[in-house]
Amino acid sequence: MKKRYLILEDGTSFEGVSFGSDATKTGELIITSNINGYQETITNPIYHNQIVAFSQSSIGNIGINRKNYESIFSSIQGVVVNEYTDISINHLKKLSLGTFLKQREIPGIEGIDTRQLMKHINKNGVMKASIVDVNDEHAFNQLNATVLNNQQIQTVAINKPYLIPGSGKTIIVLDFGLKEGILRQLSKRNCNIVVLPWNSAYQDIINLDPEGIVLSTGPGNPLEVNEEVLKTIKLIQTKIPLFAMGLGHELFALANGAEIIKLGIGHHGSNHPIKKIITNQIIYANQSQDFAVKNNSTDLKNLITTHIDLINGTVQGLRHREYPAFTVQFSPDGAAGPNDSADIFDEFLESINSKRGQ
Amino acid sequence: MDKKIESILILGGGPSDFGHESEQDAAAFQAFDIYKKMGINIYLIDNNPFSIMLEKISKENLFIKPINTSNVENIIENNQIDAITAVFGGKTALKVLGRLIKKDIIKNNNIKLLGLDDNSVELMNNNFKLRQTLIDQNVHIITSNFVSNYEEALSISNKIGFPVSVKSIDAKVKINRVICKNVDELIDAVDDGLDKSNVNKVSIEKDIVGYKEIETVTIRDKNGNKNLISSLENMNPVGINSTDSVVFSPVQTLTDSQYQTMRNISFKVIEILRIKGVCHIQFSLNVETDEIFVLKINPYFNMSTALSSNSNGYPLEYVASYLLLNYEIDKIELPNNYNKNTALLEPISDHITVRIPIWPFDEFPKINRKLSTKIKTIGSAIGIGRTPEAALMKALRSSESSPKDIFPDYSDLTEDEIVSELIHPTNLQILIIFEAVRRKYPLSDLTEITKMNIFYFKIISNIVDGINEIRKNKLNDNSIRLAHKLGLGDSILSEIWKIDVNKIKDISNTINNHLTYKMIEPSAGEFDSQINSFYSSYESFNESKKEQGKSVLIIGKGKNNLGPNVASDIYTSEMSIRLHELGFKTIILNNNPNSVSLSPLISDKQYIEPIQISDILDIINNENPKYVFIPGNRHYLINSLNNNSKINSIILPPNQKESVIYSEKGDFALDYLVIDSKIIPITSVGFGSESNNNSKNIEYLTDYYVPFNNNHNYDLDKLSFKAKTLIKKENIKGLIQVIFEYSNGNPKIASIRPLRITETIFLNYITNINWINVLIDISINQLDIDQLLNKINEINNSELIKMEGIFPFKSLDLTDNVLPTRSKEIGAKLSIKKSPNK
Repeated sequence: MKKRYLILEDGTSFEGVSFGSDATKTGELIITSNINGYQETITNPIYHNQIVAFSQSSIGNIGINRKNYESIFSSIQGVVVNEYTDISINHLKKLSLGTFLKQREIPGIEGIDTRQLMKHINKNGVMKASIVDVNDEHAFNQLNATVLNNQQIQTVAINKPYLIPGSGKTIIVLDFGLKEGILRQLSKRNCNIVVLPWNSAYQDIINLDPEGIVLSTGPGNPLEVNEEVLKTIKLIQTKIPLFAMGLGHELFALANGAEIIKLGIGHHGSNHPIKKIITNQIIYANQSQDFAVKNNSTDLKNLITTHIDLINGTVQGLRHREYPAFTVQFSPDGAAGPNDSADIFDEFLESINSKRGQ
Repeated sequence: MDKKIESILILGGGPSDFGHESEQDAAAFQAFDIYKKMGINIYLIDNNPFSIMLEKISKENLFIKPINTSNVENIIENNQIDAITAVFGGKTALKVLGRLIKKDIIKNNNIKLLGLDDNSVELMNNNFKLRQTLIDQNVHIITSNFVSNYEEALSISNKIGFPVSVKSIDAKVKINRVICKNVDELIDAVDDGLDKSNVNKVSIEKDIVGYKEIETVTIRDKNGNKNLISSLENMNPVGINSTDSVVFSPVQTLTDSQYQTMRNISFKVIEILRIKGVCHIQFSLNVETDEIFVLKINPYFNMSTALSSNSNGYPLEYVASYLLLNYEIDKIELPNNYNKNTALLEPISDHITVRIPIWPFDEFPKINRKLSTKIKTIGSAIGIGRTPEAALMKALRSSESSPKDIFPDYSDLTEDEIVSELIHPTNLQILIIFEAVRRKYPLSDLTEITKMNIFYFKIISNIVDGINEIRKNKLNDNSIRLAHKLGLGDSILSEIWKIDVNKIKDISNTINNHLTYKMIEPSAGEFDSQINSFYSSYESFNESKKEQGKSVLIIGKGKNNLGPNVASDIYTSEMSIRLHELGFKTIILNNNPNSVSLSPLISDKQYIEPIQISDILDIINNENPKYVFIPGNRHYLINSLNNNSKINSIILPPNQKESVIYSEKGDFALDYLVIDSKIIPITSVGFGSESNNNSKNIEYLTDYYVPFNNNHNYDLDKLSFKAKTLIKKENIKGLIQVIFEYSNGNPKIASIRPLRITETIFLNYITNINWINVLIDISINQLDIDQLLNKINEINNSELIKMEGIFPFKSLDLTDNVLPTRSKEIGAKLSIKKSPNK
């Protein structure tokens, strides 16, 4: 039981006990309120450069499982939890969450009053944090001096294309740091998937003659993404049915003239009701967002809002008026989180069919 | 809505029984409060004397009758009923409703059904149709297949997959299910089964014993919007009734995809049944294949819905009451103390709730204690903690009958006995597991033997290791921190270290290990709300601010047991309601999830904590109440609290020690209120017993009649004079019962006793006077005696009212000749006849 500290940019310090790696790491502190699925969360590249706190009271209960990876690499900076349970139940009975984190040099800290942490972040906004051995002035200075890497997509996304063969439609997935859930949903629908790097050129995409294109989720600030990407999106949406999620959705909005704002308080969890405007239906989905499309900033000539978060009012879905292109802010593939909206993937494939019919 | 609903008939839950305490009463009470404010006229049929509704609903709208078709039909014929609902009454009520629909009573009287439409009521009452509907909709269930030869058996078994269970239909001799793991075993089992069957048939089912048993509570509005309110996980796998299992909420050992599958199926089922309101569903999960089967659908309030709302703070009863009336979920306005979005938020918890079953075996030492699919628990207690260990320990502490925090020790059991207990669990299961872990049985072996998830053994082993550590390091700072993290009370530390509880609290304070109370709310702290329900943890941030103004702490009875427990809870609730009316901020401590007294309508603040000395002292320390009210006789508790001079405690009803007893026998009694120098007669009560016993021992007399049937024409005035003289002489005060026995044909005084809790509630109903209010008013010197005397004068005994005890003998398969006693009651029922004398 090694005593360690979670220190925040604003000078706050929490004492806890170390698990996983003993490395000292710094990242942006976010809190996920997902009730399940710590492994999916920890391996989701969307959390690159972030220290993830879990409001779920205890994690580790089911160890690490072969089927629950959202990426094989994990790029988070730390895990904060009230209690860690050291259990391994995978087939070799070897891999507990703690061991996993140790192997990947990710520090964990338990014994934190995450309720207080949640209140603190909700009051004071998103901030940087470190998991450290000593909470002295030096540690805080280090923390404040740390500039987080803004080449996040470059760090987590692939830079070489690959193919996941399928007997169905050929779909290109632009990888901005995608989570496996997207590929899982497409595979389930027999798609022939080509995953291309995020910065692939328009002509290279078109040359592959895809039937649809998916812009994946990914980490970081959409405003820091290369302008070229927006141009590509703008061109491609006129040619091929497009579907985007998360960062992809934010980029699509930018490409079509909407504004993006950084939320003072991000939302990471699946507890918010999201209204599907056209049907009035309420769904729940995994949201991991620190940015949002600014309300009323969408050019009504181009885009319509299809989904809205009933709690904080953020835009959760957009559709292009002219082209078969639509996007959602959340992760319809769940993992972790509900799959109330997994049928969006069907909708996407149907939009390809109706495009064909034209 | 085409027609505005102006009146609703609620079918009640009936007397408490196995798997049923006050949870439906608590839900009905909240709905009643909401509907009354809307101006809706509420009618209720119920015959449970221990219902909070009996006091709240006007006599004209209350029908004290068994819930059956003809009684309900009668009410419908004679009253203007616009709508009817069975969701506060459960299975029986649903059956009755089904019959009324079939007889066209509902249609002919133009009555709306709330919650379930006629089609879904039909499905809930017709298991065959329900199963067919679920199969058609591709919801997996466990189906029985009847076959009459081996070939069919094999083809079915191959289809559903081994292992299968084979059972002989209409067997000539009593025969158990046989589990077959392969074709060879199947041949033998089918041959044998067909041989023993009178009709040459066996049933083949998928064997699901050992599957994980999990549950959900969901809601749905008329537009089909759904919300998963909570998930529950049974510690025991399928094979043991889930009410008899330790339950964790939210689920702890499911992968996200298993959890989401369960959520999807829940939504599918609630959509198929087109439920408006609440639904509890039980599932079995094969962890090897991730297959999930629906075991049971309960579209009404029950113990699991009660557990949900107590454990995560979602206002389930409130929201569901609106959904029943066809409100859309996003149009429901919650009380001000909730964040306005709460109804729509899918609840999440940053704490864990553990429910632990309570057994009736102390009263029945001889009965079979083996756990099976048949329910044996009579109550439950919950523990809420920040960690699974703390939640489990707090639940265990809440389940113990002693407020001293000592657990039974099983270190004298042999290895064989332990293993046998693990394989064939009894009510001692959880304590035996503690012992096995203490003996360092490998956790993987324990998992193998019990089919329980390793997680449970892991947390128990964390507790056991922690206790060892604490034993070794007496009065050490880290020991205290560790104990608190594991949910061990200061009382346990005080027992282990043999020092005073207050000393531990002192050390705890000096090392900054402060007790904090956390709000039980459904967003894990994401939103600000002022929900008034709390549990304790040892962290840095206390969310329970001291109640402003003068407050009272009322110490609830906790877990249900046989005896007057449900009545105690109503008593507790009435006390709180009265004290609030008198201007006090009321604070209730309780841990029975099925109790009415934990309802947010009953008190200003609720603490869900073990009811043990150290926990009570902590709450007193946080709240500094003017009075501490203790309903019922709890000597250890009372003495311990009285030792503390800072605490001003009031015990109601007054201590039974004040009784004057000449004889334990009794035939009838006279009830009095004794205040100052006044002795005010209230009523006469006759005692009886259904069983043939001539002892007339008061403990065996479990039926009460008012008025007493004085067929020997004794001079009651004369007897009353004697009684009053004796009361005066003995200087005994409060609500007093003078019990008479026939001695040589003449009545003579047998004893004088403070009126028991059950009878006080009975007296409330008989006299239309709330005697609990009277006792409270007396205790704080606020009684308006003239007003009371007027009310007493208005008592009319034009009806013969009877309260009979209900006993659990049959359900527990008790074949021995057990006599019913007051302490063996599981519930009671009321009945009314017009008095023959008038």
